Amino acid sequence: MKDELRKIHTYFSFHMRNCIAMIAASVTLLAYKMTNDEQQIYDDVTEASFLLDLFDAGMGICFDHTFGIEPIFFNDDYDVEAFVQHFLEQCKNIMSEREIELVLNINNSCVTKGNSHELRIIINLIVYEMILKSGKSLSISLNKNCLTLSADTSFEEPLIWGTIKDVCKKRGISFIFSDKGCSLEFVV
Amino acid sequence: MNILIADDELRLRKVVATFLRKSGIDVSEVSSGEQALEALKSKIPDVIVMDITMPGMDGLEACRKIKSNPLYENIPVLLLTATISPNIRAEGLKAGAASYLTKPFSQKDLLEHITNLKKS
Repeated sequence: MKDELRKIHTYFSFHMRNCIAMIAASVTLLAYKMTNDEQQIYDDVTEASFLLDLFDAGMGICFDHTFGIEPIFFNDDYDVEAFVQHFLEQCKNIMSEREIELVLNINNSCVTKGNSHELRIIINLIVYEMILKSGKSLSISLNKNCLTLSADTSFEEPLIWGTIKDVCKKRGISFIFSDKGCSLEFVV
Repeated sequence: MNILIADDELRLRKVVATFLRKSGIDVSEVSSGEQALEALKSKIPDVIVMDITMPGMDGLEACRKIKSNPLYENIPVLLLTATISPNIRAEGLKAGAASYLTKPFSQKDLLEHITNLKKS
């Protein structure tokens, strides 16, 4: 358990520190009147704050799982495509700055049941990681009840994906990953 | 003074570069260890500011390569990282880095570190 906790802390600490650094650095530009593009600063700070919230919530889910806290089952309807689209909208600046071409292939809607708040966080963490791992192109497809994300380059397994896989399994979701991508199969 | 920043966090790098440029420093930017080594072939900076966690060649490896090359060994390397492990810090210093700052950081501190490294 000690190793698991260390991995979770290392992963989330890294991402949260980058978000805080972004906010602090942006505010410095404003304070010293070193920018003419206040809208860009506002957008960057908003995005960093959104991601900070995601990482904090994601860390909570991973810690709870590692401590053996059983998930509380909800019966909310959640629309997988809507979650993905909303997150991509939030991350459009990151995608455009990294010049990542997004290939979306949504064949159907996928509405399933569960704890929508928790599932949104898990999906967002996975999509964010795939954005970071993609070189020039990220493919996202939704076919029946399976969400598949593929990068155009191979990558090292993110530190928390083993934990996320176990978290998903407890919730009846299959999370499979390789060095090129991953898929989530939801219960409908 | 001119510096080279290697960091794959594009937006943060741009914001930091803007601050340093407005402070009178000539800044070149790259996204990886490989690109940093490539950039040295065309321009020798006074100081290199290097992130540790980058895709491909990371900052530690790039620092080792810089320090083992007689052409570049005297360029001070400042490691700038969101990794807080004391082991990583020790590895960075062992790799030859002159200084180490963790994110988040004050940009004034960064500027002070860079200025001191240039003086030394």
